[in-house]
Amino acid sequence: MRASSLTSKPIFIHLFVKPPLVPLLLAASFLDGFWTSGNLRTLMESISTDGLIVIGMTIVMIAGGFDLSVGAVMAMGGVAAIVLLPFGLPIGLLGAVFAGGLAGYLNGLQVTWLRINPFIATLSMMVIVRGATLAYTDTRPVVSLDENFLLLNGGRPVPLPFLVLVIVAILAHVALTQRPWGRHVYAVGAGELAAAMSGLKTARLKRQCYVLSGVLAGLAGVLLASRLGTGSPIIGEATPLIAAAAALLGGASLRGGEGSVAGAIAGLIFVGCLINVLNLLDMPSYYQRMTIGGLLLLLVVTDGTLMRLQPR
Amino acid sequence: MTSMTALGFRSWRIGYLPAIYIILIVVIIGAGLTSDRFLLPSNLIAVFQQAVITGIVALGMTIVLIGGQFDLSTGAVVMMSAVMALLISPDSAVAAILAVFIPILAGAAVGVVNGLAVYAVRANSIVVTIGMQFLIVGLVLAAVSGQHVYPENLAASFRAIATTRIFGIPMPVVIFAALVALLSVLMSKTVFGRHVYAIGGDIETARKAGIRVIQIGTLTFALSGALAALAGVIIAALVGHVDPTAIAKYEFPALTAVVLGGTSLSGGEGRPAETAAAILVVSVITNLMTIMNYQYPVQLLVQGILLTGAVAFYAYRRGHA
Repeated sequence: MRASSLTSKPIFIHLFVKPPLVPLLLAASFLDGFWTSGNLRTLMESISTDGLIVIGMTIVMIAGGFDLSVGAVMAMGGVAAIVLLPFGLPIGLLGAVFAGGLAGYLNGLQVTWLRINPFIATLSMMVIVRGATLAYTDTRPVVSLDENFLLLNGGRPVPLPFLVLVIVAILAHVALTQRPWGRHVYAVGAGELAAAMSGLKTARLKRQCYVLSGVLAGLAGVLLASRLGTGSPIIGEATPLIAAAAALLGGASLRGGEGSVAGAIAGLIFVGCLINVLNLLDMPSYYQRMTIGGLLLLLVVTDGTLMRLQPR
Repeated sequence: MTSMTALGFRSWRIGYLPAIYIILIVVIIGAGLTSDRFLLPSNLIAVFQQAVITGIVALGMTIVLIGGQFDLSTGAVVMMSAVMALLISPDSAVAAILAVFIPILAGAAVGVVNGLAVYAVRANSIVVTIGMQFLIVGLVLAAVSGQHVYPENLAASFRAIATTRIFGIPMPVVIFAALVALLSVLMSKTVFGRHVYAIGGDIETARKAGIRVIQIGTLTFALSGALAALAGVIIAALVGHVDPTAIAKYEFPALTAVVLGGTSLSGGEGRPAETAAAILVVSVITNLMTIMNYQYPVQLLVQGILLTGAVAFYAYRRGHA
């Protein structure tokens, strides 16, 4: 195999170039404690909750939208699950997922029915969901000591949430690449008018994407609450930024019609490792904010530059 | 006024009066009837003080949004400039002048970076400015190690920026009123203002008409950054110390006011004076909730509903106009 054909393979690009995952992992190897089983488990746990959200965000971005409400919906999902736990674990789980799906549906309605800019629609949903969660919990975290609930984060050596992520990622990958639905989502994102003229129900497709993103964020909230043993109403402020950075790194674009689950997962592992390395270096949390903000800024500027370079 | 209509300006009006002024009067009467504490002079001054800080931020965001873009980095710039002003630690009159102008220049510089990313590179303004927000908050917290900034000797001349009263009216209110007048003239009577409306109306047409889109657009962001920084300086002078982790998120109430004031989310429409009226509406409602003992979470929820409601209302009206 010639070198040029190897370097143009998607798997190579995802591992070395966009994002430079392998170089980062090599650099991390110089750090004491990166390749220990304890740290790898921490890494897997944090990647699995963020990963569900990244998959939802990627699908919404492929359809030409954006979802800033994912962090607030994740916090709401965790709180809802713990509040509903006395009625049984399935009710808690379903309640959180339903609440997330409802927020997603309302996002979708704003975008399709009222034709509101998706950034503003999901921004105001973020403020509403965050405010409602804070008001309901009176800004205090809700705690659960239910053993079955905490077991959602169990599983050795691979944590259960990671398996959930793998299953969801495979399902999303198949839905996007092997099913007509996936091709329709790409079509809506690439050119909504053309998609509508060729008979696609574009509004319904977009609503489905937002609902999916909400459901996955709610589910991520449940798994996160199980890991922490608490549902915190203030958690997840940086989540939409992390998810957007991972999706953009993985080849999604703010213009829509581009992106893949595999790329998003590679992007997510990159961002997750970066945050993990900062933690291992004992950097205070504000360096994380700085890194995430700077990374996102760099990525949108690159995304914008690429758009200018493409002949239109 | 004719030039405005020629530019396609159409806010929601009742008769000749933009509706937001009527809403403001209704809200004030309603607040007066709901709580007898609302109309106390001390409370009214508190409403104004609260409105002014968010209002200055909202004025800058209005100008950026008239150009068709969003600036969500303003909350972080407020915090950055408050911290900077206090770190310069003004214990003399000269230092006090520096403590006012250096943060404002820094805020304008942040705006220039935002503006170039948005107008020269054509990156999405919401994502750019949210990224910038995290970058700035992280940088500032790292610079002060997350600590409370509490300078010991603050010059009286610095505090005077916020604490002086002119005919009993607090200085920040005077500054705000002057800014509203100044920016109204800037947007409606100058070439710069006309160009901003043109860019927000249709950027490609503006470009083909020979308007220097990148320079004018970047200037709107610089203006927004400088105004947010001015709000931060006023906070620093008013309070005399700042807890960088606890500073409020000014960009949400400001954005709510901008949208409520009728500035179109797609650009090309909006006026500073109507944003000022809308910020008073938001402040009166927030103040009333504080009086009635509804805390921050409920206020946040109401703000979100207000934002969604305003966005949905204007979207519906435009869809059926």
